[in-house]
Amino acid sequence: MNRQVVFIVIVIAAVFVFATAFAQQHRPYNQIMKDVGATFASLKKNLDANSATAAAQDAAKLEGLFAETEAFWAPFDTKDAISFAKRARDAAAAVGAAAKGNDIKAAQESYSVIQKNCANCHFSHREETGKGFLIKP
Amino acid sequence: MRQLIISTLILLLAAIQLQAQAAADSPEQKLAEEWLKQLNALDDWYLSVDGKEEGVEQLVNSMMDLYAPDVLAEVPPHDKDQIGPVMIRGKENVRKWVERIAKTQVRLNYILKRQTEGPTGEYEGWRLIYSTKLPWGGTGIAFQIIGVWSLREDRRRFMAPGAVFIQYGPDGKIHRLRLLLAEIDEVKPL
Repeated sequence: MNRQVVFIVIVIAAVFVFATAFAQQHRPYNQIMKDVGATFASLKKNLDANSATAAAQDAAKLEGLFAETEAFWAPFDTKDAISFAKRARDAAAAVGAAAKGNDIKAAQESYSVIQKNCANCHFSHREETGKGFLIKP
Repeated sequence: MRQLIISTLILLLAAIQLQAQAAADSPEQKLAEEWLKQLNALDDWYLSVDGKEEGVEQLVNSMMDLYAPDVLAEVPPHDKDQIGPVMIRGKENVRKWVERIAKTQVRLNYILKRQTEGPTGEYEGWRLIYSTKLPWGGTGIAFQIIGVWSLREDRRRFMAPGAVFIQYGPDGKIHRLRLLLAEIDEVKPL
């Protein structure tokens, strides 16, 4: 009986460790940024076309992508990057809420907040090499 | 007559140029430039796309190549609770200080102050290095600097006038370092 309990505890602990390790794995940052770029462009297109439903879907996707961005920066002592990602995520949520309420004007305003945070973060943490980009700590 | 004046002027300019070159190429000048170059390079590293710090170790190693094992360094406080300079003994402890700079500061820009003979020449002209032969062997150098850096965590930028005193042993390594930074001010956009 005791042996069974010990075995179950070990299995549960192993699953927990594996799940934690898996959760800490990030997608490569360049992939996240490429997805942000494409989704952000799609969001603009949909907002300009007054396609509220499609815009809300893009905003939801962006929210997830900025959460990934935030998770990338979280282990480092780089509070400004974390804040930029957080603010962009909040703005994406605001775009989504406005789009769901069919308020395109408010959605456009929140869209520009995302844009501003992206630009600020790129100014501090993105270095262009001519062949690609480097991530400044 | 005009030709004579022009020739004299050309000769004079050439002489000034040669003198300037000699000063810029002096071993002491090179030592100072090298130390500043290594210090400023401490932020030239990047994060990989999977979130690893790349290149920081090499930069720290390169800076540490300049120091002797028994180095004694006096550096500005780098802890919020520390008042006054910090005395660091030994290469391993200096390494911790260097690593701390590399990992917590970005956009490092320590520059040598320049000077001309005139009263206003503080931002142009010669980069003066004061040097002396040490009685126990080796060379001591001193120079004025302006230190500018940003904190990695929030990008706040700071600036401070300062001075550097370095003693090199006959082995060419740094045995004593004193880095003084006065009046550290935060640089804020207007």
